[in-house]
Amino acid sequence: MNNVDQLLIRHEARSPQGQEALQHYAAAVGRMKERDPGTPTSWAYQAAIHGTESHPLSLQKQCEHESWFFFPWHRIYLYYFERIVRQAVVETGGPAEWTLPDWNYDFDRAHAALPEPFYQPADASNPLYVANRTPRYNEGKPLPKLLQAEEEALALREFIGNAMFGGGNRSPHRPRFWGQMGLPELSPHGTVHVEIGGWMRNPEEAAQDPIFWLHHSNIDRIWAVWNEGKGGSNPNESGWTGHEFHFFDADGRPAGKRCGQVTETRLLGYTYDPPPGGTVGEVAPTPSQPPTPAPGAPEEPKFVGASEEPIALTGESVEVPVEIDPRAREEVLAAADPEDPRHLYLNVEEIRGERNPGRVYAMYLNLPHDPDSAEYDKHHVGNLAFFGIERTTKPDDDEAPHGMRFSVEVGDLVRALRDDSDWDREGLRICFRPVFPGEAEGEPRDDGHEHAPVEIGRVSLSIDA
Amino acid sequence: MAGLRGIGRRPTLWIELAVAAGWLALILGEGIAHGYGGGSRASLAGGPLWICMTGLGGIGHAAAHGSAPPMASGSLVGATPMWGLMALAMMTPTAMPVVQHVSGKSLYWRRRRAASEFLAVFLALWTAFAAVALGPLGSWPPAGSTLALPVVLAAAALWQLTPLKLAALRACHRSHPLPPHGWRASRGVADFALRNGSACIASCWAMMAAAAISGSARLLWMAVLTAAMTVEKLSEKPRTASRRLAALLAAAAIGTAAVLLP
Repeated sequence: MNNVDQLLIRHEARSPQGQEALQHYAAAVGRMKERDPGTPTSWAYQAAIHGTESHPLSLQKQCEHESWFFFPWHRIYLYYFERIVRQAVVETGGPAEWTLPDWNYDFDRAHAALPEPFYQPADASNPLYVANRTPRYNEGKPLPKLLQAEEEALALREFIGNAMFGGGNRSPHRPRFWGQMGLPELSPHGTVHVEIGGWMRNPEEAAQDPIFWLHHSNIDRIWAVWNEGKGGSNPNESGWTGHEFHFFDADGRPAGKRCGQVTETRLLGYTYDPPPGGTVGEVAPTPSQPPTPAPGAPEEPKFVGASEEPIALTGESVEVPVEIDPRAREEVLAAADPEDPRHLYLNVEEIRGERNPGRVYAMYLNLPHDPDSAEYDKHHVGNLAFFGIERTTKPDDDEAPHGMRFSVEVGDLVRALRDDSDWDREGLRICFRPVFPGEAEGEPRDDGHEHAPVEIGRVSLSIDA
Repeated sequence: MAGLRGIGRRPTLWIELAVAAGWLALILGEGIAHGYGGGSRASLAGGPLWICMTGLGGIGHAAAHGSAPPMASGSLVGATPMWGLMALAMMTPTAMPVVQHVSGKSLYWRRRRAASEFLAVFLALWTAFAAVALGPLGSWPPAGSTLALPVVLAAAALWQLTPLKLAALRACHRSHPLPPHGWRASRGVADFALRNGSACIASCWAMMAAAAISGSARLLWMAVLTAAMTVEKLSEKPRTASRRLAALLAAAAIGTAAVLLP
């Protein structure tokens, strides 16, 4: 930290301060790219700390996903990266107070496009330009509105848990992709990674793209807003607060921080503009505390329905029926009641694939035939991105294989469908519909994109404790 | 009380109790074996088969008196319950995470049944493999040989370092989508048990062979090897776990050779 008394401010990339910061960022990235890749403060080394296809050097290939370490690991990663870039900024004649901007793609439609310095000029003279991104984003077109919405994530009330804000509790000895991701890690984090494409699509390459860091600065901002603006509480379990992650500081020496040391951005000497706590009244009222589960309630989720056969996603819409067990049909409706402390989850399990399909899927529950846009909105339950799917078929040398899994809380939607007589108590239908980025602008849904197949082993409905 | 109720509700409780009963049977059988043979060489080679034989009557008594070693004299049918008992006691603990996975991913009213179906197929596979492939070890090593255990432990250590072993250990971690209803659910569980059991055999056969011929301290060996296999399979770092266990097995091979060789 520079100095707690001198709080630095990270600005949105399109603000005047953010645009100035981007100019210095470009110069510093250029400087870091000139450094020997074996030097910890080089661009290549810093990117490989997140992931690398090569043999990892010290502290490389460490990224934490699909667990409660996702937010703190990336916050510490960005903190040390920012210090290294700041040093390079100073070396290239920039200010000593430089901060990493954030790309707030959810601010409005104009902000949903890549900031211009990342694609103009579109040649090797621009250190921020990456040619292998999805072409439409290097042309300044916006991300689909469906993918980057942070509102759903900010409405969550709990940090720990599958499909909660921060992800599931994971022992540090477990694989770093643990299949218990929080909702914002799935979307907007995963969806934006996959949509931008190129390096961003693969965890082993993602941090090579300079936009990675602004994307994660925004994810970090969302965490800060959840804490300061929404009153969300971080874990206080020692397995989280006491766990330490190690990186390199600006002088190239190893340094580290524990999760408990980064629960607030102020502890690291920075905040965001606008202040994360200042948005409290503008987005939604602070939610009430969740009801406490009854003592003695079962700890494991109770599965009450599942699909019969695996399905393959190959770029087309697919609908999957899920029969609800007759013994549990009333219980499903009871669990969807807001006064009931239990959660009702839709789970997409045993997801496997060799390569990221480069396509995000929107999931709809009981979507009517030939729906209009209002019905799409009403029946939308979440998005599926497959960031990190390569590990399901090609785990690291010393990693146990496991499929990906996504869960989303569907109690509110089930209740809404019941109230509108759209609920079928015997079962539900889940529609996986590929998102075509230009659809809203009238572009065709078939864009000729090559789609690596993805297998989904099962879609299930469960009730937790 | 709430804690006790939670334990009572656990769908895999009966399996944990069955494993405990299996070990108790092995311990009691060991006492019977010593009562018969006083630790004769035949009982050392026969190991837990002794328990089965004594239970079946006659054959064990002959072995106790120094005639044909039990594994050589016992028929395949006669030896099968012993291998089943060994599989229950030694291999079930290594499979408990998978059993819990099967139970937890099944419809809630089907949890016990799914766990039972999985374990039945898993143990049947192990028992059949052990009876057919490891059974002949009963007539080996020849009387008077002290090299058997160090040699098998060394072979187990080498197996730990092969790519096939690592692939099998990784396959033990692979999960499988389970259909929820009816015969499809049972078939899905059986299919998963066959896949997982096959991977488990490929991963652990050498250590099971070591347990089968481990001699006078067989119960201790079985307990140690069970712990080793369980820790290895629980580890989320298969390569590291496999290599560490290889080192331990190599050390055990050297240690037993030093103790047993004249």
